[in-house]
Amino acid sequence: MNVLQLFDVTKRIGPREIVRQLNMSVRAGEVYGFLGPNGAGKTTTIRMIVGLIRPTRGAIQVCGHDVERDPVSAKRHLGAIVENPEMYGYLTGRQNLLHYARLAGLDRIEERIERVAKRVGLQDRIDDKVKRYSLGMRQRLGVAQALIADPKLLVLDEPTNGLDPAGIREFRELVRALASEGLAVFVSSHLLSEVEQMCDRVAVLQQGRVIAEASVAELRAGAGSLRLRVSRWDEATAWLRARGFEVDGSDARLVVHHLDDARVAKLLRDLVGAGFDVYEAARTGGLEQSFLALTGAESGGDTP
Amino acid sequence: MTLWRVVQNEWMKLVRRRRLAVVVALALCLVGMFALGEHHEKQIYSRVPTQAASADWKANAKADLAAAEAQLSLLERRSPTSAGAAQALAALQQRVQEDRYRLAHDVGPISPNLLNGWAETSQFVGAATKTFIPLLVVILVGDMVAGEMTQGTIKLLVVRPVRRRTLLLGKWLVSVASSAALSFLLCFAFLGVALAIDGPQGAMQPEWLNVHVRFFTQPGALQPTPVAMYDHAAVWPMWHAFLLQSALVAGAMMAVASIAFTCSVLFPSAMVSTSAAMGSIIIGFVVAAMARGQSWVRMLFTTHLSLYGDLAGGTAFTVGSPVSLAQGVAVLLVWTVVLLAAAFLRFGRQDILNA
Ligand SMILES: Nc1ncnc2c1ncn2[C@@H]1O[C@H](COP(=O)(O)OP(=O)(O)O)[C@@H](O)[C@H]1O
Ligand SMILES: [Mg+2]
Repeated sequence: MNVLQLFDVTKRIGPREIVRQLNMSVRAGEVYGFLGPNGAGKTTTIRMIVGLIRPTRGAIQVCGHDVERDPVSAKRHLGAIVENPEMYGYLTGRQNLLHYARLAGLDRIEERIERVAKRVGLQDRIDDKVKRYSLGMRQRLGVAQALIADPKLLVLDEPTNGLDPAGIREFRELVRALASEGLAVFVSSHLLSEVEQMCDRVAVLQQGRVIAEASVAELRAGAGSLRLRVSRWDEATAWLRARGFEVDGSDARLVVHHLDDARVAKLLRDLVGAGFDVYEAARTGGLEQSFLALTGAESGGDTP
Repeated sequence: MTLWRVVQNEWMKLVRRRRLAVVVALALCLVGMFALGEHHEKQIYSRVPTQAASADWKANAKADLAAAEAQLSLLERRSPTSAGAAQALAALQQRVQEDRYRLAHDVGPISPNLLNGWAETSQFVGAATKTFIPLLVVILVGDMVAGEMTQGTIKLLVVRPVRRRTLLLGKWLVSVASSAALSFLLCFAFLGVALAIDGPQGAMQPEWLNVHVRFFTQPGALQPTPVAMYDHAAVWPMWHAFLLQSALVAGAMMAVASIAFTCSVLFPSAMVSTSAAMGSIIIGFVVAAMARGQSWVRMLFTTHLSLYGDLAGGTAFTVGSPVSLAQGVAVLLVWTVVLLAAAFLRFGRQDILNA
């Protein structure tokens, strides 16, 4: 069963349709990337999933419960961070978690708090006031509050913003571990590298529309290029062009475009079969180029 | 129960916010000012020459009662038609009621060089409930929802498996409970200060409740003359009346808290919502003062912030038209219910976009 499902979801604010006819589904144990440049509508979509705003049209289900009609059942299975995880700075980390645990109607709260604090590595600072936390610690506490009720669906809105590279790596490992325990994770990002490294499937959002949805493996294979160093490069170029490959190259290094896994394999076999020597072959671009090609835009931020 | 858990949370947040510290500090200032004032007044009173507490006050009271009753029996058949006649009648009625109360409860008058701490407190509380205490309440709860909108914490709150109306109800309950508690504590802090400075005498002195104010139009006068009438008045010991007054202050402050709470739902910025709540109270007073004598002034919630004044007659004098406690309670209730309904409607369906 799908843990999260969006049916034709449209949100209009004023005269503008911020997101249009989204159809997505996320399965248990899957990390689903929601990739799009800034302003594409990722946060707006996430606000609808967690019940902060209502879709203008369409419906959203979490574990089969409609978020609008049966919000309490739907949210029982949900943990989320929307934009920055703002917490009560005048309370300690523990009091914050206690606050959220109470609202989820949980029992044995103390035990749970210890467990999630340990899981995100905050156990030593859990009794400090949150206003004294660093940004990284706040993000961790954000994850802790999302996990406190053992959700089936974790919704994370650009969760690595503001983390240092070590923090990002740690976070990625945590997300993968959670998914392997059967959680469905819906994570938005404007960073391709992040999605590529963290997710199983990805939807690419541009100006409120999903313009592509695929597994990361498919996308990676989809539109990459191949760099080649071969003997008799000018002859090889002509030979490849004659067979319909798109080739750039004015010296011994050739670049062949728009290749998926199958085409790469065939190209190398045929090239060798035709008597050319292949000294070097490297895949480049991959998802990055697909993303740029698909959105036709800058990815909107620096890869950390 | 979910509501109870929401209430526990909201209480935890309320007592740890800096706003509570601000309110407590301001409240302590207020108590300090009252103490200074009392101390000063006591100095003045102590210069009045002492009179030997007259042991034969009972004889005097009996004689006065007989005289007043005799005069009253001459007047009572006719309902007064002029302010002068009404004042004469009221004075006689009050004398009779006081003498009867003193004789029945064996309560002599207190020496004129002593202050009555109970009466002092009652007077001060009556003024504070129309000015300072509402401002403290607004500071305390004027951002219950707006604060979370401004901070962005509303997002992680609404994401929980709790209905929005339950969240709001819990927040409202904590707002009114904390405002009532604040008012009670303040009233008793004033009382404690007054009794410590002035001494405990006066607890049994008479206090008139259920005083109706009648307005007499005099030829040539611009405004009708108010006269406090004692036909249906009840005489209570002051300590008893003070308890009632504290309860009424707490009740009125719950209404103020509800109004401030609604502002915090309607205005998403903590600053704007607190200012709007304060502004509505101040505007209420200004309008009431400008429109004194108009009967619709009785419909303003600011008119009834001193519910005890509705009962003891003070409110009618300031408003310029007759009021009763039942009216005051009804007006505050209607405002509270209508505004809360707006708050619940708004919060229940609002898109939370900018938090
Ligand atoms: N409160 C709002 N009112 C009107 N438009 C908004 C509001 N919030 C966001 N938008 C618009 O919706 C679009 C999508 O925003 P958002 O969902 O925050 O994008 P993302 O999270 O992908 O960066 C943006 O173009 C933004 O201008
Ligand atoms: Mg965003």
